[in-house]
Amino acid sequence: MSLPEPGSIETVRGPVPPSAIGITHTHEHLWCDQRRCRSTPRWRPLAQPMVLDEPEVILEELAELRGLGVGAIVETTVAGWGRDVARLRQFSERSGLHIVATSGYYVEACLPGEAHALDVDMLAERLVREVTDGADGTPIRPGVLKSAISRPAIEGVEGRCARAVARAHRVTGLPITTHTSATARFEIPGGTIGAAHLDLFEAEGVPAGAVIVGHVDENPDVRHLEALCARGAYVQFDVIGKEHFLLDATRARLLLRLVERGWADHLLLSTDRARPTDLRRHGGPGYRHLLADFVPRLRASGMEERAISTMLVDNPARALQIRPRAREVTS
Amino acid sequence: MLDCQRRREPTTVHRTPFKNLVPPPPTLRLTERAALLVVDFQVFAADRTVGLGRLAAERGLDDELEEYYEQVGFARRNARDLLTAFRARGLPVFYSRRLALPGTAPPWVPTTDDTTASVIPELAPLPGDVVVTRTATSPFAGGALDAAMTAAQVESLVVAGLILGGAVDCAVREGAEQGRAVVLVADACAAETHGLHDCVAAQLGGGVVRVRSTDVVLAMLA
Repeated sequence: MSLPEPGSIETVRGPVPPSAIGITHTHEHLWCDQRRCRSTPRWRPLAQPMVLDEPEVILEELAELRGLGVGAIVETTVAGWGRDVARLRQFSERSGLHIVATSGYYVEACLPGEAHALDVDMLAERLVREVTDGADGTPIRPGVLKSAISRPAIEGVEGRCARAVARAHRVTGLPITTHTSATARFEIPGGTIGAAHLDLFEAEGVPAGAVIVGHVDENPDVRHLEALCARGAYVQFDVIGKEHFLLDATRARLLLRLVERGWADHLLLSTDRARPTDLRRHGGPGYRHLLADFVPRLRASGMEERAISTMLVDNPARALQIRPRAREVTS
Repeated sequence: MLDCQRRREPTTVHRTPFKNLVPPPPTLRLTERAALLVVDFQVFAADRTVGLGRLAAERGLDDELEEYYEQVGFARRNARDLLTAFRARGLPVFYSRRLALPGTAPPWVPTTDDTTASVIPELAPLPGDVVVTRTATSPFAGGALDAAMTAAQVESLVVAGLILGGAVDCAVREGAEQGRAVVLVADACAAETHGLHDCVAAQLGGGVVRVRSTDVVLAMLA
């Protein structure tokens, strides 16, 4: 198969023009199973692992989102902890929502077993193959590459995977989305590994504008967020509603401040639902929290409709576009 | 059951603690100036048939200690691996051991140096290890432990032990205040409940205190 077409957005039902996706949650999970990750025999199992495995519950949530006007979701589960792109396609077909699947590598504990033994180029080749041939034994192609760091530094196998993601980007043009584990956030200046990620990606020839820095609202520092925007990256408030990290009221104030300083074109929003208790059937706030609860809060805090639309519609449409590939840029 | 999440109103322990408003220190590497501190892995706290466990059983409350002893089971195995690794590298090992003056401590703490006051056999001190016995909650109370560590030029302190929300908490905080880089090995410690374990570890982490797993500390030593 061929590489995806620059300028389009690759969804589980094929490429679509950026104008087609509408309001987009740029970092969610619909189908995942953290129990597949390497667990340490040194401690009790996680009381509440990230497991989503109830199709009807997810479809209820997606129907609600569709009713609220959502057009697309980026599903950021990768191989190693339960990604199932065929399932995502079913969700997309039954809900009518566009769904973008993700290639790349999650944190060390959740890497596919063979990843630990591969060098950077071999790791990159696996990703490129998913983009050209399809993922999970299907012809369904991912539309985003993920790089995840669980330590306070980019090192070891996670470092190799990050470089592989960068090299796969240069071949495929897929945008990159990043993860910093919450357990590391207090030891990293600025609260996310985003700046170090950008350093590594830029050294590999990836422009910052192709990178979505995720989980910035777990331990934010507005100076750091502005610096990421100034470098050209997208800054993603993607754990909205998880107030054990940060109050939504604080998120709203930070977003307003960033918009007022001229960074609206760099901001993305999502909720990162990943556990049954996050979902409405099980008493949680659900994916709808973004539009039903948080956006009204933004309005109440003084955010203009134009900025809200920029964050929910325009920015995802730009951020998720397949970029011109390295050789196309340089030729 | 003890739990830091009070159900009456939603609270959180993970939101940015004040100490994390300042930039963090650079990533720590454990060097020859690192030491292991083993806190109160004594029979009265680790063996279910005596001390804490016996008192709870006498009241008919032994089920309430299930989560604690489950954690102790993991913690004692992990502490053993830490001891092996530190000794293999010739790094110093310190023990802090608790005795109580009569009437001054909870009734499960032995007041005489009997068998329940001993460190559990699999973690017992070896010749060359430093053992400091104290009568207060904090391992650093009285200054003897700090003096011993200063004499050994300890700059980084890896802490394992019992009980996380008591003596271990004191050791971590005071060790940091003495200017040492402190690594709390969360899975080599036990708290009264799982919820409290997560809560105390989250509260201690950040600033100059790092919370790590045994596997990560072993990798740092490699």
